[in-house]
Amino acid sequence: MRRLVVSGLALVFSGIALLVFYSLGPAKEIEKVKADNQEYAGMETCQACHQEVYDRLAKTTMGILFVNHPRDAKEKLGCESCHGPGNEHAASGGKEFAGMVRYSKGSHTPAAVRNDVCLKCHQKKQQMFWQGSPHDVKDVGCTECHSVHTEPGMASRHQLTRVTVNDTCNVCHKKQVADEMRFSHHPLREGKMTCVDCHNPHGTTSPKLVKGLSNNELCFNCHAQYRGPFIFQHPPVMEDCFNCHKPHGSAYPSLLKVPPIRLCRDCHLVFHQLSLSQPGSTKQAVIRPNAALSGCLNCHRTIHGSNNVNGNLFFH
Amino acid sequence: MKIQKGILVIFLAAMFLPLTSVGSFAQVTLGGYTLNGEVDLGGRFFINEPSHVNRGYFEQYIPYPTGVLLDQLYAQLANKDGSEYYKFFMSRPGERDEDFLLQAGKIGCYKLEIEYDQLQHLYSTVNPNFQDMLILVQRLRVAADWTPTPEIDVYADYNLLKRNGEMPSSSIVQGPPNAYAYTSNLKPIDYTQNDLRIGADYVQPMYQFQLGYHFSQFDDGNKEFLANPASATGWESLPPSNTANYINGAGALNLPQCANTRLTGNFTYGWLNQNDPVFQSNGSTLYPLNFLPGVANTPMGNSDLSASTFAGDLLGVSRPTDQLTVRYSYRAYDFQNDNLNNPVLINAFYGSNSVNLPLLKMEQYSYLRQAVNFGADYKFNSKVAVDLGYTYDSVDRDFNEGSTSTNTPKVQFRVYPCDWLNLIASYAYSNRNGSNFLEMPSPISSSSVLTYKSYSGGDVRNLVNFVAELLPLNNVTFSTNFTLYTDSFDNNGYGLLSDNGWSAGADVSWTPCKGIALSLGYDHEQSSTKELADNAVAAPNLGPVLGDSGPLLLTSDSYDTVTARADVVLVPEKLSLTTSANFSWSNSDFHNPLMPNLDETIFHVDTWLKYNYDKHVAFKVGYIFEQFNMTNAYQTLYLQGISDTGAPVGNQTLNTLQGFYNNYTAHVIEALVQYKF
Repeated sequence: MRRLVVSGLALVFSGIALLVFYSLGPAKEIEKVKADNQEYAGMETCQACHQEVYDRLAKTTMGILFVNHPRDAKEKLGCESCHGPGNEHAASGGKEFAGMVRYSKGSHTPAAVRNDVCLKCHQKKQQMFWQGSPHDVKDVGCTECHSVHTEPGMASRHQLTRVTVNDTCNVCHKKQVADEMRFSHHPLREGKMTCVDCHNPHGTTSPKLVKGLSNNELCFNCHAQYRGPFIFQHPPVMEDCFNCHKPHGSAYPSLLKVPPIRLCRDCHLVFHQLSLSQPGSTKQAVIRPNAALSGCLNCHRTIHGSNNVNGNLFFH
Repeated sequence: MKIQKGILVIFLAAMFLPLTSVGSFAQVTLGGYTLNGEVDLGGRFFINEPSHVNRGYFEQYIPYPTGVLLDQLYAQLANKDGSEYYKFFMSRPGERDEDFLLQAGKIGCYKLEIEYDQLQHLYSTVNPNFQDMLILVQRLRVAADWTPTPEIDVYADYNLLKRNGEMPSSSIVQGPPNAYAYTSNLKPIDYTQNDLRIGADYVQPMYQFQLGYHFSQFDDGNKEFLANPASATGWESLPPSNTANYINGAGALNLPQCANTRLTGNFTYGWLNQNDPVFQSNGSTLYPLNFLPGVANTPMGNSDLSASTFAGDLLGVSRPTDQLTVRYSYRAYDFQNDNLNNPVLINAFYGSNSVNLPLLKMEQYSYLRQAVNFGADYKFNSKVAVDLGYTYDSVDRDFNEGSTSTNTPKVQFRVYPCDWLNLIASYAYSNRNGSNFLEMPSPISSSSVLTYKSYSGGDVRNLVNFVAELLPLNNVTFSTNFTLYTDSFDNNGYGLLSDNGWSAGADVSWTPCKGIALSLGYDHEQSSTKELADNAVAAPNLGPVLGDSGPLLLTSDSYDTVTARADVVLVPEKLSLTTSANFSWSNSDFHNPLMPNLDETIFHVDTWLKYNYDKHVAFKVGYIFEQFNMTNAYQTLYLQGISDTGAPVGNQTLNTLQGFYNNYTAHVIEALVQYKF
């Protein structure tokens, strides 16, 4: 552990040193914008032909910022901040696109190129780990989920292409939509939770885009009662909640993978030895199915961990 | 149809109010800020209302009261160009699923959010002695985000989560050598969770940096409860209060001159603490005298347990050419258990004559999880791309509690043969090896070691995915997907042997003309698990192994889901129809003649007809239909129990406190008037 901490700190300090080194130079991107300024047509030129789009854009968060309150040279470019220099496009009467970045459906501009434009401004906070993330690798474009030109409706947030977060994710994640229909489910189909409560679609350091250092830490965001540490720990709980639970939905209660009586027998044998200590063994004997198939949890109620000195079998 | 006259009068009045001169007020301007928004107001009533005892699952998370309904209200106060704003939203105030949101901000500078919402978790309504068994979940979120310059972002986010109510819990009143018998009780829930996150980001085109701190505190208002009132030792300790702290640093570096590389690093250190009072099964905090001489005698006091976590990541992505993307990453997650010398634990693990150290280590171990990942994506041209990846991950546990290593090579092909066809196929082979786990003696005997960590043992997994997306016409999208997985658990004499499944789905979207959008989808999923549960040895004094005895336990599940949606403009700018339907049915077969199959269906339809009276006023009528059916296997499996003859088990009948739901059919009508201002 200590080595890991030291390694981590060394990593952070190395990063800081590199950042200091890089910060000595001017921001190259801004310089380039100024240098290329003569190639830009200007927002008024775009507006002349694309008035309807301009009007919609002007009501969006980005539009308000770019049109009325630009904070730097990049934002002052308005439309061309995202689409690139449009002088040639304007000069051709709209026939030539001359390397402009286009986002419309069927655009031949690669997703990585389109996304790079967004990342010039949106590379912090939740977007820091976009590169190399599952959505990036699969060439998902930012504009497949977010709409820049569409005036946000009263109900929409984050300028999504669809009304809700869940609707946006459901376009591709059909299986998870089906899982929401299971008997046991989180309140997604009722609209009281969204996919991004648990996932960060822009990239994470943890697997499956979960918002947590591990699956457990994700679950503890709402279920901290299982965080412990406990006097008596149940190892599969300590390692990964998903050893027993299916978070997207299950036919069985409490999002369990299989009925409780069978779930426990994935690890424990069927007969119910009462002795805790087996002769000549350091490991333990435990279970036999009781006749009431509601399962082991009828007696072993504190299965997530017990803080009772008599809780060794999770009875108390 | 039963509609209370009073309710009808109120919501009809509410609906028609906007048509009167009282309702038609002009747009309001306050000191340069313009107010606009919309409100949906009306009422709800049932046609064929399910009885109270049958409404448990229908209202599991959301209540459906009848009467006047303020469905939602949006109000926005914004300056002329919209750069400064105050927004307010509320939904169903006064109901158990109410939601409020207040936002204030200046675009590009700061944003404040205060949000409060509720939901219920209704466990059961079938017990005549209890009105409703439910937990009310309340959440308050306060968030602030300040962006003094485009390069700097400072944020704070506070979440308060409260759970109050009661949930069902069972308790044994009689066990071996006699037959099992249970009682049930309501477990009190009074949880409070506080989470505060603060952090800052600094960003430059060539690098980004962020620091964060997360404090989380969980408090349980109840410490223990008498799960079995008939027993002096029937006390159960409730989840202990605990705290967690995390500090986090992350940075990223863009190196365009170095094969277009981006390096990202992340470091998080967390420490957890739990120091709640320790109880005994008799409800007392006092320990018997001389329990363990020399180690913390009475009183026991608090637990004082702690653990720490560390996570470190280093990720890189390089794009040396337009065609090639290379990914590489290393991740370490360390869970450090610091409690081996804790006197409370030593006392708790004290056996007949000494501390049961092996058992203590078996539960209180630390583990280190590491993963290395390499991947390369190469686009041969605009039509063909291949992605190769390899992941190695491992889990090492202290005290010889086993280690696990997994090798996963994978390949993915993406083919775009023409503008209207996208094909993606992937295959992953995963080989997991567990070592130092319990070895099963053969033949098995009453002295056998009986626990095996199947979730970390040997497993060979094959995973196939296929997605095809067709866009034959500009207004038609068709996609189909297929997934297959096989898991074979080796070195596992008992427990889980295999887990196999597949799923297939298809959906089509069609927009035949402007104003009509239709979509239809179907998904089928099938899975089967096989467990070997030896039943050869049963101590004579325990009686015969009953019910689901094995030795081979097969579970087959199948799930089918149909989804459909239609958005139709019946009269342009006047009348529109939106309808969505979900129908899902599932079957669980336990391959045991004593255990009935568990079949369930749920059918939900949501249809809305909207009429725009003018640019301010619209009328909406909604019809919600939901039907839920489940075979009584649920009651048999979870509540009543079965004997070796399949008959209900005498004196083992759990009462309905355990919580279950009845079947129901519900037809709901909602009529709303929407007024935009």
